[in-house]
Amino acid sequence: MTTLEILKTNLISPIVLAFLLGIIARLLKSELSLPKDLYASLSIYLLLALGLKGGVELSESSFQAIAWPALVTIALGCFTPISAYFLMRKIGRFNQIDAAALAAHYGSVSAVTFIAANQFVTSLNASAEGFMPTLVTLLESPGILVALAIGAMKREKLLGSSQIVKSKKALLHEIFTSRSMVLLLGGLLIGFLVGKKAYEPVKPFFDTGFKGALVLFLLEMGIVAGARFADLKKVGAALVSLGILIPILHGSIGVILGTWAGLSVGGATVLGAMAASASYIAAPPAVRMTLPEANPTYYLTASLAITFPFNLVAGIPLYFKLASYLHS
Amino acid sequence: MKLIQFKLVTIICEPGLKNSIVDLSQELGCTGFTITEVKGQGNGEKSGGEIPDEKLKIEIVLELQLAEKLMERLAASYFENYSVITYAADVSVLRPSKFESEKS
Repeated sequence: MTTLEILKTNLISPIVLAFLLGIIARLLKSELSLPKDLYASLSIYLLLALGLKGGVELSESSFQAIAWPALVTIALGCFTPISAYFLMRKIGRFNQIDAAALAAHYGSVSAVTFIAANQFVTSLNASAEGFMPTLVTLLESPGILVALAIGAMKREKLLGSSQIVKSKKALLHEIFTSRSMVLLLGGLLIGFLVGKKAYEPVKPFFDTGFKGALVLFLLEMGIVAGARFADLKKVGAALVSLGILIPILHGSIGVILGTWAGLSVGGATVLGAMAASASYIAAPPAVRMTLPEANPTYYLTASLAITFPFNLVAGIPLYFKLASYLHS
Repeated sequence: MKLIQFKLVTIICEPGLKNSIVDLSQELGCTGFTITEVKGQGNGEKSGGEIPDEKLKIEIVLELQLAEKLMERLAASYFENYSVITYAADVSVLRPSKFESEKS
């Protein structure tokens, strides 16, 4: 399949088009937006469904198959925040605290990007390994923690031992009990424990509606991202370029490491998309509490209005292309 | 029926501060609080305009001294880097024992 065909397959998919519709609706100043509670319910449904399915698949995978990919994922989780920090400092010329805040977002994972990548490879008949959701839980926390540790160190140096808004314990508690962690990890555990047969009765609810729910969710994501577009001018060209360069760099490293660890074309693509993505649910509140001096406009705009749309439209097909090339 | 004078401290803040502020008020000895989700925009913000940002309104009835202490602590910890405002008003209540600090 040529690059153009792959891009086309990706663009003409309900989730990408729903996302674009959301952006357009917002830019046209339409009053459309999903009720807050529905948006929250959809994200609970999607994350739990993802966890359950992943858990069932995990119960059928061998330890050997998952050991290397898991190790590679943890390594990615430690590397991506550090590389993002240095790129933001050196190329973006951001101050230390803003750079650390941005790094926390690029170190963590966007679950929606992960799901979109999964759907994309499935549509090309190159489904990723079933244990991929397990890897998401491994990648989610270390990234935020490493970046926040850098930020906390720099902040102490800059401001002296200034008042700490939240204790370390409270912060760790917040990261490990976040909605996405509880649902993903909990779903994985339930799926793993019940296995394929006991999952069968609840499967219709979680399987059949999944793609439809994702379309609705992406519509609202488009509206949220569209609202940030006005800030693109404010954040400057450096952040816009880094918001595209960093995912390409992290995504390629993810694909290479994933392939090396033995993942299929689909699996390596999805791992690349995970590494390339920037969190916008788990990271912002944690950053707001630990690095209050960091400017939220930078990190919210970068992850929502630059990196997420880039990955959804062009990044995922690109990682797929690279994965196919490495496998051939 | 006898009404007693108390202060009503209102805090309007970004949602992420909820737990920190509630914890602070409890630590100082406030006996209760009410939280409502509200929308609005302050002078420090530049949101698009049509969809005002979501905020929380925390209301606490308490004694004058404690009100001053709470507002001072809020100012010291959060005024610089977070979106938060606070103001106090006079209110009259029945059953003053419900609002008297356990720590005084």
